[in-house]
Amino acid sequence: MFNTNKIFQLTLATIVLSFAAFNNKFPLLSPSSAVNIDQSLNKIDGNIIYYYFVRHSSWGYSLWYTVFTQALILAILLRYAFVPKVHAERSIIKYWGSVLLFTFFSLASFTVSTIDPGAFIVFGILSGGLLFSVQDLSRNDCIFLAIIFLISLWINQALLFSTLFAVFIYFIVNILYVQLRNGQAIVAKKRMLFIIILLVIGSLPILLNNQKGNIVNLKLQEIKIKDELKKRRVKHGLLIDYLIRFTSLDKVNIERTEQHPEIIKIIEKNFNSELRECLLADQMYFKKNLRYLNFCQLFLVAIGIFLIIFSRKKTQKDDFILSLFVLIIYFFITLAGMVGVENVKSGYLIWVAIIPVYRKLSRSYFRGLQPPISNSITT
Amino acid sequence: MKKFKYRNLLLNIITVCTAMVMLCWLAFHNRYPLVFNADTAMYIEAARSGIVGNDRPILYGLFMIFGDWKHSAWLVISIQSFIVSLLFFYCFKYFTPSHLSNSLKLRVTYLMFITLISFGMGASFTVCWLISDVFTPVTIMSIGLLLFASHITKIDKIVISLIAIIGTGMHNSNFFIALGTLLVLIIILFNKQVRKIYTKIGLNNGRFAYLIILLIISNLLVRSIHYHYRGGFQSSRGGVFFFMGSLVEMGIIDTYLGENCGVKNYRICKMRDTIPNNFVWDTRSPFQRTGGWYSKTNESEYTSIIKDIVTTPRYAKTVLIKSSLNTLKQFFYYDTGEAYRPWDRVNSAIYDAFPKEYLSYLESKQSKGQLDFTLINFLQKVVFGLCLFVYAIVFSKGKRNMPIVALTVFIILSLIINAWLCGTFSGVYPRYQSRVVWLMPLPIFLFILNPRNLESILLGGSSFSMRPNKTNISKINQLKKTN
Repeated sequence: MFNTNKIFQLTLATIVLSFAAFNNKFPLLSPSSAVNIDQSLNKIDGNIIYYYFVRHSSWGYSLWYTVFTQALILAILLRYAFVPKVHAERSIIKYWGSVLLFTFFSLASFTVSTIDPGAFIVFGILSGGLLFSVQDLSRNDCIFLAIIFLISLWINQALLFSTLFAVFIYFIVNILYVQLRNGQAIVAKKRMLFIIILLVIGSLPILLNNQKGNIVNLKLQEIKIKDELKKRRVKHGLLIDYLIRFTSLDKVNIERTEQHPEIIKIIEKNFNSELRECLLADQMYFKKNLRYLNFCQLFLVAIGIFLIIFSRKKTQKDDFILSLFVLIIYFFITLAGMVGVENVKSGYLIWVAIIPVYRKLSRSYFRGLQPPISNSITT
Repeated sequence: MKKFKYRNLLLNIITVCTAMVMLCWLAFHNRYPLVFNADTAMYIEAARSGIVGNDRPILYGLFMIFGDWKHSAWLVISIQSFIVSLLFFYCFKYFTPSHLSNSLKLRVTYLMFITLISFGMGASFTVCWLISDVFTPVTIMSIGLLLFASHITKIDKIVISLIAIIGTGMHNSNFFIALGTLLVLIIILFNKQVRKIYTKIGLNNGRFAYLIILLIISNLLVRSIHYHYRGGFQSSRGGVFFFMGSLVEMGIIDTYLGENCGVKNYRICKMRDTIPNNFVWDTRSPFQRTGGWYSKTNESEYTSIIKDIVTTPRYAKTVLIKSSLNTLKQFFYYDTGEAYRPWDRVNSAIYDAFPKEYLSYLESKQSKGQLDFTLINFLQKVVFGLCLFVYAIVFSKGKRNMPIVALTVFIILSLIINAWLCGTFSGVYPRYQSRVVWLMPLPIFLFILNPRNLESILLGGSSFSMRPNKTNISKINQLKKTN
């Protein structure tokens, strides 16, 4: 029933993707980690779904398990993205190429190694994009992706709204495509319906919003946005500011834990046996210098853009759908980040935006692996 | 013919010396060899006073004193660098096809490899450091050569064996890393497929026996030296204290003392609220306050605690989990650059040992706190990632150039065992892994030296073992006969 080779590969990929945590000697902690680990600290600010995720995935014993779970989810999603079911030749090269590329040349490892709901934006973008684009998903694959997508929607409301917008755009593209090119719809009706159902379920916490549960507090979000807009010093004008954020020029740096004593208190209270580990972590005393990694990530993006513009290879239908979805979501999430709804820097996300490019590259590099020509939509 | 032989020898010497200079670049950049707080001082002090410390073998200290006959730390790092360059050269010589062994291609590839590990990884740092860390990769390489290389000349075999003996004795962990790696390789012999591979690459019981004898000789040598310096007939010292320190860092001692201090009357119980993270070296720790390395009571008490922890299933399970986690942490924690501003103790040790160089030592970048390793660390991560990728490709292709694949497995295995030993029994520190991580690209360079390997990777299929051994020759003959 289980494919030993696949399990072995996924385990190794999980370990490699947790690289940033190992290199820090403890899971990375963001300023909001304290609230996400222990809701008794502040019930309003924390993300209750992510809090439950941390509570269950850590088994109440170790934050390492949470990091491993996050890394495993990403490892599986990358497998879905880079190892197609139909043309699975040289899958090891494709898969390991992607895992190692994103681990050592981007902030992917930092994203999954941090105890922060930001990781679920990445999972949401990837799982949603795969649900939209990959046609030959089995029932189990669909269920797995749907679960990840749903949890991501519950954790990040910005993802929910941007996916709604994406669905709307796909409707228009579908209509245009069918009418103008007299072809089949780019996203099958059944798949579209399935995603809409997922969106409805995903929005249930908002629809059934009650003040006691505080799963999603719209009023709070509104206040947050207003506050953020009031506080913001518009340096170069809103558009330029947004472009800076969109192109990830706001570089990521890992804050020292020492500056946030509340996190240490929370670790002591909830994961007492790991307190020493937390105190011995690099992040405790040194500010992690990600200068070169930030540049490297930008370089990776630049190569991706270059490849999009100058590549003569035909773009496959599913690559096009995935790219469009990822870009729409990325656009909205960075916008949400700018107005203060999401507390995630675009530097943590930009590597996701170029996954479709490298996916396309990995497919077209190996001869004879392209899907049938009738499937392609652009030249 | 003789003329060619000497010409090749001369060219080989020039190549190794060039590599040696390249490996020392960080010392030139720093304007003096690098020191480590306060281990450099401890080695010098032990050797000059002739007192064997409880925490480390005296051999490296003696090597420094022996090497400073011209009163220069430069000579110490030059010898270190020469040994590393020589071993790498041997690797290139004995793991490539015989027709390439004296070629320009081999020398160029060798120098390219040295350039990569010197400027893009932490090799130069480890070589230029005045502590015994450089002898860990030296031990691994020499054992790898003796295990997998075929047709080694007698002189080269003697040189490599001597380096293996000395290298193993330089640091407590080296003996255990070498022994652990050998044991794992012997244990997997029980697998039929592995036995077949061993026969293919000419790895027999004789080689294992030879290496185990070398390890025993090395251990006896260290014991004898310690005995000579009135340190008792012991080699590995202070293991209990280091493991205790590691258990403190894992958080197990806190739990254990919390649950057992009411029942058992340990001295440490009275001070259990003041146990610092750095149990072994912090002067305020219970260990240092109760007599430190020289207290027999400490040793017996800690031994009893460790025994109790390891034999109680509940704690043993935690030790096992934390040990696995520490192994992973250590494996990926290889940042180079633990060259902070030297402490006074190191300053005075350098002054005592190399008085003529003291001023240039004070003028060094390290003494002024001007060294920055951000770029090297980033490049090291990139190279590490690329190495993993190439390994994944090579292993996914099935049949490959077997001796190099065997060397690759051996290097990965020794890196894992190094991570496990250090992470579990001493604690997770970057220098433990940064001293060996630059061995990773070695098999890749050996691999690309043979164009058939590249072809087979890009076009598919399998390549043949390069150096014909007895088994291969017999197989070729069989094939010829059948054809």
